[in-house]
Amino acid sequence: MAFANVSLLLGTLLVGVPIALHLLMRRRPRHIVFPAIQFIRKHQETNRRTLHVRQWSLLILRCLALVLAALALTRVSVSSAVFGQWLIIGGLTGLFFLIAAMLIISIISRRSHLVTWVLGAGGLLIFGTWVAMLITTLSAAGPRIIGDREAPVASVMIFDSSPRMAYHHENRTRLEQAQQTANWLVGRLPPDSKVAVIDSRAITPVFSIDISSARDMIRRVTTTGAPRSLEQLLETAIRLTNESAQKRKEIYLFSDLSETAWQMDDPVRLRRLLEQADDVALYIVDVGVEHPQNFSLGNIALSASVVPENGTLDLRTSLSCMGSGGDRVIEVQMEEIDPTLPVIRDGKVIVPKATVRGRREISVPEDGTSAIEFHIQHLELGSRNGSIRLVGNDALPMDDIRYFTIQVRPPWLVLVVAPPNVNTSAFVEAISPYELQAEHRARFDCLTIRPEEITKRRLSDFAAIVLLDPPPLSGAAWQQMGQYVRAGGGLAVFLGHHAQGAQAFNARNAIALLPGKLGRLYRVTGRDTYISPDNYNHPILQPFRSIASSVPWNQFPVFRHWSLRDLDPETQVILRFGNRQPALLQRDVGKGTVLMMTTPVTELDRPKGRQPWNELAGPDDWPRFILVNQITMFLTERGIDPFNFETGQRVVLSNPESRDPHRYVLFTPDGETQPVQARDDRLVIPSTDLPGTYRLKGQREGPVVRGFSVNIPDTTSRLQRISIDQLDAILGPDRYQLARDRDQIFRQQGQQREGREFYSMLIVTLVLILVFEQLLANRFYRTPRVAGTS
Amino acid sequence: MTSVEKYLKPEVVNQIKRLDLRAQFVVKGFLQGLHSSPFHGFSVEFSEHRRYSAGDDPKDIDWLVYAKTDKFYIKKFEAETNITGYLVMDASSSMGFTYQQELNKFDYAVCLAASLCYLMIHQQDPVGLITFDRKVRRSLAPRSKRTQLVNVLSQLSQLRPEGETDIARSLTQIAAMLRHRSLIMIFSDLLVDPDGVIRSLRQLRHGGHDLILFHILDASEVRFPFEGLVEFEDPETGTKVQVDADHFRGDYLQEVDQFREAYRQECFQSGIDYVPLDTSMRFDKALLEYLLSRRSRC
Repeated sequence: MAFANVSLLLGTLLVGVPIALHLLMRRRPRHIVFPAIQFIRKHQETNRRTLHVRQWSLLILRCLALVLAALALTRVSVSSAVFGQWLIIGGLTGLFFLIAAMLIISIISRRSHLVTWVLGAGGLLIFGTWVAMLITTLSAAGPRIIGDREAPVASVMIFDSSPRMAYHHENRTRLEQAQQTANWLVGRLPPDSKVAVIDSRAITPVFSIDISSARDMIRRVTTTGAPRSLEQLLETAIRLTNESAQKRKEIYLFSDLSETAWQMDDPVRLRRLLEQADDVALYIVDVGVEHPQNFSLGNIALSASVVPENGTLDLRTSLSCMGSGGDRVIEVQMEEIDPTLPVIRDGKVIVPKATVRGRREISVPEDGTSAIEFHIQHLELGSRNGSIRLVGNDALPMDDIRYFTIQVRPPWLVLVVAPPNVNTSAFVEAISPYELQAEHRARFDCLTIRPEEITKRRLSDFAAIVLLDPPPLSGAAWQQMGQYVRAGGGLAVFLGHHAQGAQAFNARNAIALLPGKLGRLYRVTGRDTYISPDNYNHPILQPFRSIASSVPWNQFPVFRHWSLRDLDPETQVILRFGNRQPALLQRDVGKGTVLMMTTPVTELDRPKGRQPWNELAGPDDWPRFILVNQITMFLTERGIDPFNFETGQRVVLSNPESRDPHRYVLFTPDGETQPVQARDDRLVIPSTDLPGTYRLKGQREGPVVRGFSVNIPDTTSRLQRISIDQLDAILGPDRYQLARDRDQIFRQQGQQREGREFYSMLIVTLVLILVFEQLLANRFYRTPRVAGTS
Repeated sequence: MTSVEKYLKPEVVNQIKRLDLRAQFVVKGFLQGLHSSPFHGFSVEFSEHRRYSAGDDPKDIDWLVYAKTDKFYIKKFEAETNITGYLVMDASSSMGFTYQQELNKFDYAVCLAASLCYLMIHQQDPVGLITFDRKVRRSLAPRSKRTQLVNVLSQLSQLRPEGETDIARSLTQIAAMLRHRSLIMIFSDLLVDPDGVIRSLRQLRHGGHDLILFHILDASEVRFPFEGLVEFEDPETGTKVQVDADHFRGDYLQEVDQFREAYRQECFQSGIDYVPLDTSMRFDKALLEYLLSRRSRC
């Protein structure tokens, strides 16, 4: 409860005036000598009691009128949250007085006891309810209010400046709408108010020194591709208001009320924070559009970020529609290779020309999604930037384009080491099909040698070494391979029946490289043992993730496999068999990685002179095909940097001093440039808030151009609006005020700052009481028409 | 209204200071008004002749009849029933009350009594006067001579209402005083306990007297025109009562009506003529009541 003019509360003391007048200045009755007094005596007592009732009734009404007038002038107000309860209390008070008056009349007029008792019981009941309501209302008094609308305010304006706020409606973006409203609000703030502006960028906010600097801060708010969550923004704003010395604190959150924006990591904590900061009024200003209409491209799924020369790049994305659907044209553009670009000419950044490599017209149903797939062929060597675009305009342009960067390179050279009687073709054919080899489109170029030839080869020439069913190798071979791995090479070991003589695999040089010591050979009868993954979290298993439950591992039983013991602490089990024994293990050694599979992947159906170890290479062996490819790709591309990021991600690129330039110029998507310097063989680009293609240009025996792409997550552009119930669940039902336009903001401000005023109700009640009092007084004390004499 | 009839109004009569003239004007106005009244033909005029007998007043001889018949006949008037009347005046201080009228209850009663006296003397009825408050104060023996009118009016004009009243005792006393059947006309506000009064009235009636009870109240006592907070004081006892007059009016009027009704009922049962009057009423009502009573008695 608050009073705009609290000093006028002293006016309630004026009730003493009518009481004093009643007690001290009683009206003197006219004296008349009257012989027929005998007719008066009989009803004198009743008349006296009636007279007292009237006098006290008038006195109470006059006192009540004075109290109401004083209260009305103090502009008493209460929090909106408890306004209804105060109304009920007011109603109960009136009812109580009414019943009390009826009770007094009943007692005076000596009505039946039943009526008196009923009225008395009713009065007590109402009085009890009144007291209970008063206690409840006072204990839950709602947010504190200052009362004076013009008291200075510590105001924090939060702008959701996520890319969604670039949605155009009525010739302005949602952010522009928010900025206009915020400017209007700033102009209406009481004198000496403080304003701080927070947007989705990670900038430490402070209170501005004056209104003009606040307007300037509002003007500088722009959308960011890496918005902080509203939870963080609210937390920052609450902390900021807590630091303010102003008594009145207000937070204005300008939001489009999209579901994405209001996804909270820890809503309980936020609610607790808001409850603790109960002196801070929170206004949610809805600048969103009730029924948005938008087409948006989904995230790009690339078949690979490193594509072999002349290989095919598969691009998959989706086109989603919010609102009424329709036909749209999607095209893929790829930049041509020009090592001299980008350059700055005439103050403009010149980038390589992009050519359309694919175009597709697609139909999207209302509020639906359609998938799109492009196959880009004949890719030239080098770092290639491209984009998928929605042709034409719509209300939210930022999700009409997706960027990607790939590396096109020659096939990876893989050294396949296998004894003579191992079916190496089953492996080579899987990772480098002959058809592709013939067309020079294969990802891998395999060289198959005997185990004893290892020491004769320069292993650093190969991107990966694969040991297929290796026999015990010499210590020199293990040592050479150890050096290769430690230098960053990748080694895959597929154990098989040739690994007889565990001692050779448990030699010091081998142990230093392999995930563990070779244990006993597991022989399994029946077809009940097969690969049984615990999960598909490892990157090697990534292709299986989406079809995890439908991979038919049980169709490829394993009859024999090696067990490992004394596993290295760094060893990670990627796959297990059904008997819980490890099937595929990874150990990182130095800069390289060793993968070991405890059963071969090259077993023939009917090997000569022995039982097959498994049926992984049986008919329809697509899981083996994928697994082998993934293992090889993991080993070869393991050291390749990713080229595609999401906005806000910290980009770290490897930049070996021996290979790459030390200094680069970074060309950001908005045409800005900034120098970047390698440290510890790495390039770090901390800020990637803007979506688009980032280009790095350096010099080392000629121009060196690298690049990467940054995209906004497709979830960011989802415009589905949050419901009021959801908002209540997040912030608390009565903890915020929701306003859509200036009138609503003004009204909500009034209610929050001054609470709900009783002024009009008090004045109406006062008038009613005065009218009632006048009627009673006129009836009770009509002045005689003619002055009498006795 | 003729110029004479206006004297039936108390406020007009009050302008005349001489009591004998008041009475004269009232009676003349009343008699003139009778001609146009439903009682047309009724008067105190000549009604029949009878043979002269010794003792009759020679001036009543109708000489015209003598001229025609050569016999002495005298005119017989209505009034010649010769009923002795007593004007019984309550002279207590309560009778001296008035609120807005210029004529108080006692003046009204005196004027009325004087008129009746005039009328009776005019009809040659003997009239006496008795005044009382706590007891009988004065009494004038009934006479029918014209000089009696002077005596009565003289007595009436000298009366001043004062002191308390005891109507019952006074009436009992009067009953003891009167030996012959008489017409007793009581003028009082009766503002005492009615039981004793009624008992005394019965006693008088039982003594063979005819009674006309003129119950005279002030107009304010009948209408209770007071407003606001009023403190009333009894002039006789000095008792004070404070009431809210506005709220009290209904109860008061009901009480007065009950009081009058009680007297009316009792008087009807006892064969007493009860004439409720207030000081704003014209005198003819009282006079007419008298004449009606007299006719029924003849």
